[in-house]
Amino acid sequence: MKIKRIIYHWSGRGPVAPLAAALHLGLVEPVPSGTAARKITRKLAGGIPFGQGAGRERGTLIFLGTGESGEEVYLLPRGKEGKLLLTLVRETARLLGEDPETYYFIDCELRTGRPPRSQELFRRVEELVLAVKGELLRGL
Amino acid sequence: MKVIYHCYGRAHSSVVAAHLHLGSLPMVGPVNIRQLLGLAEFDRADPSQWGIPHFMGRDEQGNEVYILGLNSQTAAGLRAITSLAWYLGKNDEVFLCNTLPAVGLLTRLGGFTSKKLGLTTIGRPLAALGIILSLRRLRHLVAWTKRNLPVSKTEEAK
Repeated sequence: MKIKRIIYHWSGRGPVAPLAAALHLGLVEPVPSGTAARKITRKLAGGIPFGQGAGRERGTLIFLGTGESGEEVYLLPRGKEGKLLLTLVRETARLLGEDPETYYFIDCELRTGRPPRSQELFRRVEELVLAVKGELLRGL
Repeated sequence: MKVIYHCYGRAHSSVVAAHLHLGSLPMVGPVNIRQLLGLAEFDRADPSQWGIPHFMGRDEQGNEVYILGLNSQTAAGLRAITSLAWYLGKNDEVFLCNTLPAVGLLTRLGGFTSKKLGLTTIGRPLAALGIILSLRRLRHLVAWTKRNLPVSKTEEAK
C-alpha cells in the first residue's frame, strides 16, 4: 500500500498549520464536546512543534510524525505565494519516482479563513483536521 | 543522477547550460546568436512552467539533465527539493546547479523585455547577446558541474 503524505501548508506565520498537524497526530488533545472552545494561548502554541511560526524555514518540508492510518504528516511553510512551491514539491516527487497522487496538500489558512477570535480558530482547525481524517478514511 | 540547472524563468541561462552539458552547444569556440535562437527552449518558457523540471536529455555518463525555473523563490525552492529528496532517501540522486549568477545584466534585461513586456523581437536577441557575453562563465559552471558529478554505478562497473 502506498504511503499517503499529508502536507499542512501555510504562510509560515502563526500556529494554524502546526496546530492542525499536532491535532492530527494527537500531540494536542481535542476539546471534549460540550465544553467551551479552547483558546490558542502562547503556552499552547509554544508547546507544539513550530507553533510560533516557521517563516525562516520557508520551503522546507518538515516531517512531524505518522498518523493512525500510517499516513505521514508534514508541515510546509510556503510564504505568501505558495503555488510554485507546491508545484515544485509535487513535480520533484514525480521526478524521484513517487506517485504525486499520494501527496495531499492542505491549505490551512484557506480552509480555516480568518476567524475573529482565537477560540474560533481552534475550533476551525479541529474541524479541518476532522475533515482531513474523514477524507483520508474515504481515500481522499 | 538527475542534474538540474535552475534559474529564474528556465528560459535562458539554464537552457544554454543544459545544451552545453549535453553537447548540443560547443564547450569551446564561438557560438552565434542564431544558434541560440535556434534552441527549442530558448526564451520560450512561461510562468505556468515554473517549478516543473523539464527533461532535456541524457549526457554521456547516463545522467539525466533537467532545467527548472524557480522565479524569485530560489532559496525556498532549493529547500523544498533537498528536504523532500532527503525524506525519500534520494538526496544523492539530485545535483542542483544555479545558473543565474553566471549571466549578466544584458541577459536579465533581454529576458525582462521579452517575457515581462512581451517585446520578443527586441528582448530575445538581447538575451541571446547577453548569453554570448556570459558564455565563458556558463561553460566554466558546466565544466565544474560535470567534474563534480559523482560517477554513476553503471559507469563505475565499466
